[in-house]
Amino acid sequence: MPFSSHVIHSRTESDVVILIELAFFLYFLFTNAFYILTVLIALFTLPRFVKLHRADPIHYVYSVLELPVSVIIPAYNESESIIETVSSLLEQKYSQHEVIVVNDGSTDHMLDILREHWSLEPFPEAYRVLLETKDIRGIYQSRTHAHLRVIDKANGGKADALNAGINAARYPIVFVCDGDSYYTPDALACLVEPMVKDPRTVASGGAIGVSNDCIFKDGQIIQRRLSKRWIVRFQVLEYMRAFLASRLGWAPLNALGIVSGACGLFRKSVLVDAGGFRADTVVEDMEITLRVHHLMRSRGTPYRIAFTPFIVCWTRVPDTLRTLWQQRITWHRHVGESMVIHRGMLLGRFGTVGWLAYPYFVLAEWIYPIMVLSGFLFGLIAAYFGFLSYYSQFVLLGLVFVLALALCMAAIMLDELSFNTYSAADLLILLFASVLELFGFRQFCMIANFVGGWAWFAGWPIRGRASIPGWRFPPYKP
Amino acid sequence: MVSVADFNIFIVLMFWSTIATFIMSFCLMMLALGLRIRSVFVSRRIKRVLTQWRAVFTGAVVESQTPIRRNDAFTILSLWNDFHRVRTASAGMSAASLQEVAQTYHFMGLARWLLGRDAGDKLVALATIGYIREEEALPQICDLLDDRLGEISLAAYRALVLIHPLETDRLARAIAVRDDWRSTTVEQLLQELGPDLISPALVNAARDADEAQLIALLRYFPLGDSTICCETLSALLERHDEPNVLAAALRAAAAHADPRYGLAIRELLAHDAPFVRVAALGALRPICGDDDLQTVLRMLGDRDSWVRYRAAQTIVECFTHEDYAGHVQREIADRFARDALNQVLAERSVLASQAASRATEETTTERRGIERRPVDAMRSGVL
Repeated sequence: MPFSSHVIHSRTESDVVILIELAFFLYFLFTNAFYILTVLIALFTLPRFVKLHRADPIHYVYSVLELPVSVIIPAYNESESIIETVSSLLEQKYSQHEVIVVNDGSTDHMLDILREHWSLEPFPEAYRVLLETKDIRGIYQSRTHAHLRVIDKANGGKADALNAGINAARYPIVFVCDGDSYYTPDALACLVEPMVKDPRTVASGGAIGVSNDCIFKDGQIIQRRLSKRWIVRFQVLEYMRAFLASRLGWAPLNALGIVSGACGLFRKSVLVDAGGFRADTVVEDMEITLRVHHLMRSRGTPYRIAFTPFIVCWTRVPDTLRTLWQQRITWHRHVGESMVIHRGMLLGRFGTVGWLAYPYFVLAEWIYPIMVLSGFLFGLIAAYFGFLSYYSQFVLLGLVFVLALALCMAAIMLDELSFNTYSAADLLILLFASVLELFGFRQFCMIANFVGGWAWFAGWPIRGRASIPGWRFPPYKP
Repeated sequence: MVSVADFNIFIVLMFWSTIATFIMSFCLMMLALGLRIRSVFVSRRIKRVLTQWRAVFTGAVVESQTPIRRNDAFTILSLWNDFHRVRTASAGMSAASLQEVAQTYHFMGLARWLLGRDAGDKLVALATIGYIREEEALPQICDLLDDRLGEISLAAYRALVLIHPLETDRLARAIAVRDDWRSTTVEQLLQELGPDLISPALVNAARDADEAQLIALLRYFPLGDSTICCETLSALLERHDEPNVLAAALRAAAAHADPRYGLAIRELLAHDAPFVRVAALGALRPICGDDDLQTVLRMLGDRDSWVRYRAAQTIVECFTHEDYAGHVQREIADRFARDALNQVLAERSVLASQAASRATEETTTERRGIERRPVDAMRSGVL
């Protein structure tokens, strides 16, 4: 039986070891309960959603009743990809939209490229300041595309660029995107749909696909291909899990914690009321989503933050360990910032956000690397002193691994059930990758997350930015 | 002394959880593979069915009467609905041959689809029932009018009014209360029904509507007949005091461009709410006369930037004689007013240069003899 294989120094010592192991077991059980909950919700909603869309597709009705959208592309040194990104957004099948590129003080020749490609010329815009930003150096209008404008401003970070875009936006809905991503022609129609169906919807996010090694032409995807690099393949799995197995499950509970910075639609009035994007955090997407929740729930206004499972945006993911490391550190720092800023929502009168989403983020995202590393450390110490029950430790580790595997398989299965994003050969590779990622990739990301957590706590400086408050962020008060 | 170790139930629980999760993972993997194999066969079959039935619907094949299998029915009916929608929406195209196909292949009897649980099946069946006007399905349609799912209730109303156009009154009342209906789909439906049918229905529904319902209804007034809607719109513009209702009514009045609204519109130019003033300027534009010049010039100095912008647009669009806008631009002292005017003039210049380059492009295209594809067919993706 379990305890026969190890040396027990005393009853009390073994009790302590087992109680600690039990605590870890309960922690993993609890966090995985969230995952299981969201997977079950996704499993229930996704096939119905897809069938409904097949029966009632979004026809491209060019109508004045369609909500007009201002697309904001913040761009800093994106000279390599900006033409493709802007092209994909100009060619949207949508009744009324404008594209605003915000050049955030780029040091490369991005503005010249834009000026030449779209025949930009200075435009005497009556610029309205709804949100404070760094200085605006000039506004340009395309002579070939009446719905394209470019704002040239001093460097202030993505959030500052987005705020400048909001100031210049003429329409009540703003679409926030990235300068290095590509958008499907129906991206706006898909994202606006929840707002049209339910006027209470204040924000809407879409699923994002990994574009590395895919083939694009004029900003549109021609062929979806799985990258040959394993590091990218592992991230494909992560994206599948994040969008299909997680966010799709949170959305029906109206507890979506993140509307991606690369693909998010917001009501402009709500963003302005919330004070716009914060320029003092390392990134901005999770914080703004939680702030919208915080604001709307404090006001007691009925609202909804929706999610569309269709892949409407394709983005490049890091393809080297170094860039992946930096990305994960930044992301995890932002989780810490968001949790601290919106700590007032925890278990408060914030419904599913306060009672489900926030605890989930704290337990399953924020402190996860601490728990895993401390578990590992505990194992080492216990083994050194001879307290370790190798059997129970092995079983616990096995459980953690197979739960991760199950979640991954569920995400792949959800994709198969609805979209078939990749070819059959790529599917087999993904299935294999879902086993392979458990050995090395996950641990790498977890250590990066741990370092990100430390960077947040210590308030590590970021190049070109003012000091980051780290854990000293004051709580948000709507 | 009793120890935790004596109760190794947790370890046992962990062990069996691991085993169960591993089996579940394996099953999920097999399921994913199974789904892929199935989807390969299904997509092949759908491709074959679509090719076969596209030929039938375009009229190329009329004599073959292949029975429709239940598995293919959803695909075939969706395709038939798409064909019907495109043909009825396109000028000069008739859907008569599609109706013949529906009779030949016995599309009747779809009412039982409405009793099922599958929302996709219901939607497709409702669209087809509406097009073929199957009266026998009315009881089932009526049951779905208040469906929780907006798409289904709207499709049910659509089928109902296509079968019984006199039920448009009921549809208009539903438009006022259902805020989960996609406005563009409602607009399409109202366009299908035509202004003669929808105008009285919208007017009747507006009579008993509260403020929120009025705003919902007024969005569709531009689709109605100006003469029938005029009395209701005028009454709202003159007597209603809710700014959101007034703005919605002004937008409808702008679409009708009827001088009978003139007095009310001009009064609302001085409304307290800026968005009402913006809407009033929009409604004034199509009926604007020289007498309005001073008012519009005054509004160019409004405290709200959008009002200034709309006033500038009105000046540039309506007072085109002798470069009047340019004259105002040179003479005006107010910096904000001049900014608004500068912006609008720059926008006009961009649009004008774009229109010119488009015209050149079109001429070149025609000269080269390049055929243009029908826009509707491109949008629908059916043809």
